[in-house]
Amino acid sequence: MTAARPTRHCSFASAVGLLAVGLMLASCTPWPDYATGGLAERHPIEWRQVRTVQERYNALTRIGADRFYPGRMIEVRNLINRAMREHEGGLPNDADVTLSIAAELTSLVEADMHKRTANFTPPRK
Amino acid sequence: MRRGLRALVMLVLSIALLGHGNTPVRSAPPDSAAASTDASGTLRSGDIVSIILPGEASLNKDFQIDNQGQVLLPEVGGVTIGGLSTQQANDLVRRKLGSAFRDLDRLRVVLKEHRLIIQVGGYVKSPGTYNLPGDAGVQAAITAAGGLSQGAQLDKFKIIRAGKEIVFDYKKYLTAGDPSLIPSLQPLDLLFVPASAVTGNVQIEFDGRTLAQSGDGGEERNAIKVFGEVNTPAVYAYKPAATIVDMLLRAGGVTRYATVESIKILSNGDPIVFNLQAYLDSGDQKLLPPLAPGATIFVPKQTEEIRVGKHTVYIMGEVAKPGAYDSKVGATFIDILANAGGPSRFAEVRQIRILRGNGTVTMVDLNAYTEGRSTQLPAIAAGDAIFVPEKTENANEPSWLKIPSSRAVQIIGSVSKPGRYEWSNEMSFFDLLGNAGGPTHKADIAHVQILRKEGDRAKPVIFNLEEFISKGGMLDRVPKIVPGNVIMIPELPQDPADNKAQWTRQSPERSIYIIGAVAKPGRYAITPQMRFLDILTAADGPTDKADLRNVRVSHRRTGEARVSQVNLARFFVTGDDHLLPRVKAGDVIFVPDRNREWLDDPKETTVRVLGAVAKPGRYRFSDEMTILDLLAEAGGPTTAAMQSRILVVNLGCCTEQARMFDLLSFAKTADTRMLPVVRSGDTVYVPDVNQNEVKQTLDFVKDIASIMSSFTSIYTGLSTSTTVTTTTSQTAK
Repeated sequence: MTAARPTRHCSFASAVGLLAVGLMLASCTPWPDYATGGLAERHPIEWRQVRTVQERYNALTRIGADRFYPGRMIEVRNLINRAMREHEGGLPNDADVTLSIAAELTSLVEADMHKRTANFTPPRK
Repeated sequence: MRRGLRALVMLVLSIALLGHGNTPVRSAPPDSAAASTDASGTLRSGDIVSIILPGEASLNKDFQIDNQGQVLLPEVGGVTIGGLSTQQANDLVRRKLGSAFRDLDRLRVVLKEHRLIIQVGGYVKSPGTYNLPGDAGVQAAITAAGGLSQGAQLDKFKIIRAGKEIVFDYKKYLTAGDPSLIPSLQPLDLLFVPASAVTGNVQIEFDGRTLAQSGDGGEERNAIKVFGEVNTPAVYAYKPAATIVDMLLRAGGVTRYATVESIKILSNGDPIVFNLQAYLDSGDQKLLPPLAPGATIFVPKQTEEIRVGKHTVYIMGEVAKPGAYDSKVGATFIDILANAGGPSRFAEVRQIRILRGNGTVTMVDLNAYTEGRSTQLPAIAAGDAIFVPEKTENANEPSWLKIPSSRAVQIIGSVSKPGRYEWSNEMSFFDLLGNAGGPTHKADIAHVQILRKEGDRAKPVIFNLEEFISKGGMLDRVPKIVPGNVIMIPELPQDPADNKAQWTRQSPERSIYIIGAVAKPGRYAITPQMRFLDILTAADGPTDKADLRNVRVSHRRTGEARVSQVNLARFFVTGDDHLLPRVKAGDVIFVPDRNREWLDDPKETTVRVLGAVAKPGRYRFSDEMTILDLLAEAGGPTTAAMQSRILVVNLGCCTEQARMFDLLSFAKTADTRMLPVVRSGDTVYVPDVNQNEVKQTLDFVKDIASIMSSFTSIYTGLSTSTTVTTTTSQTAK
């Protein structure tokens, strides 16, 4: 009878210890990954599609589209930026959708610029 | 002795002559007596005598006998020789000169020339005293006086001689050419030409025609008075053989208004009605009434008589000579119209109406006939009445009811002269608008409405006149107007803020609505040429509380619900017109207030910032922002914020994810790669430090340890007392 007492005492302490560890483990839920891409436009990005649209945007800028259609050019730029952020931020599908919208808007601006330049007659010197 | 006797005789004669020196001519017998005196060589006033005295220069010249019968001789003065024979004058002059001259035996007085000094007065052009040749007559005297003045009474000339009047008919002399009809003139006669009674008492310039129209100056008592509808109503001299036709002819004939069937004559106090028409038709002399001296002839005006006849055709209205005309067999419409002087310039020749004797009406378009579009004119029968209506130029004239409904169009609304206008197929819409004075400056010519009849219904047609004028186009675009149309030129609204009554007249089909944070929200007229900014400006622009980034335009007439979001702030920054939507009538522009409730914003358009920040809430986010802007707008993390573990939940199109952002590390490293992606619709959560798992675990362990310590103490206490009790009981055993 005397030997049973320490056993009983040990088992209680073990139970309390196990409970504490279990509770510790239970409360230790994992934190999500660290975010990236919030200002992705400031860094080089390995995404071929976005580079294509970006080049079209730059080409439009070179021929003065931001003077004729400044509002729409800002919209295009913002869409490209958002696509890059989404792409770098772990939202590739969203990035594709946003980039397609940017490409569509770029096409509209290109078409308007084409009409404008087709009817353009340089002034005589 | 003989010489003394002769001197005595001469003295007596001289006394006698001197006693009548002032009027030597007046005592002379007229006419033939004067002529015989001339023949006998009696000297008269005006005669020129020559006094011949060889060797005496002052006497060898001609002397004229003046009005007193004297000649003025040198040295002796006036010597009266008028009325003397040449011989008597010779003796008298020799005797008078004998007192101043010697050796007068060779002196002779010779009559060199008879002259006639007379006065001409009255209605001659140059009245005065004239020195005429001795054989001059009345006509020569008148000629010397410049001729007769207009208005001279020719049959009552007068010669006043020695206080007596000799009246003679100079007209008769002019007619017959018989010199015996007028008296001869004698020295010192006064030939007086009287004025005709018809010249009245006021001196005016007459011409021959005027005088002729005033009658012939016949003697008033016996003259025939002709008046009424004759061309020259006047008093004419009575002639026994003259008939009423002669008198009418002298009066210039009857006018076109004369009633020739009932000319009224008052002869010898008896009223007589003379039918000139019947006389001319029959030639019966018995129909001519006798004319007594002093008779009165009155030709009444046609309108005072009702003219009827079995051949009569009536023409009324806008012709030169309306009235009743006797028509002959074969007379055409044109004949009758021409006899009536033709249509006046006010005549509406397209609407001539013939009122038939049987009550029917025949319309005649003379304009079409003259242009060859109508080849026949209707036949005219006796009893027909031709009515030429007055041309109606516009509906403002009181006679507008003359326009039949089948030729009228109405133009109402914002034109200078709205009203009912006569329409012709030659006219165009612009002619009508021009007749109405054109649209006013308030007119909305982009929405001209033309109401057309279709059966028993009216169908409106909208015509954009503004666009047609500015851009032109095919002429068939101009709406075709037909009689019965109603054309409405709407009016642009006044300021809706202060003229609601005017404003409500504007139809919704041409209105656009702007509401919200603008200075003057309301309903505004819009034309296809107007743009978004025109409407915004008409509403005096957005207020200072307007949310310019979220202006909404509801396009209601696209067949589907469609709303555009307008970023006016970006437009004001960039000036890019393409950012502004096209607006049309019926659209609604809403300019929201910046301070409105956030619940109005859908979750997809905002970012929720939760947790340990100063101002948690929903915030708008644009792609030009980062999480740093968002945190700054939310007032930043609080002191209890777990800045190293800010959580961002991204709601994507296909997947959702959560990411952690360590603000502290970012602040230390400035590595922008650490920034999370944030878009509208995402959620940012800043945890409290109390939510740290380590701390929580430590706290939990601490709590557990504390509990376990308590339990251990209790358990130890209980064990000790049990042992003591057992020991005691065992000892007791």
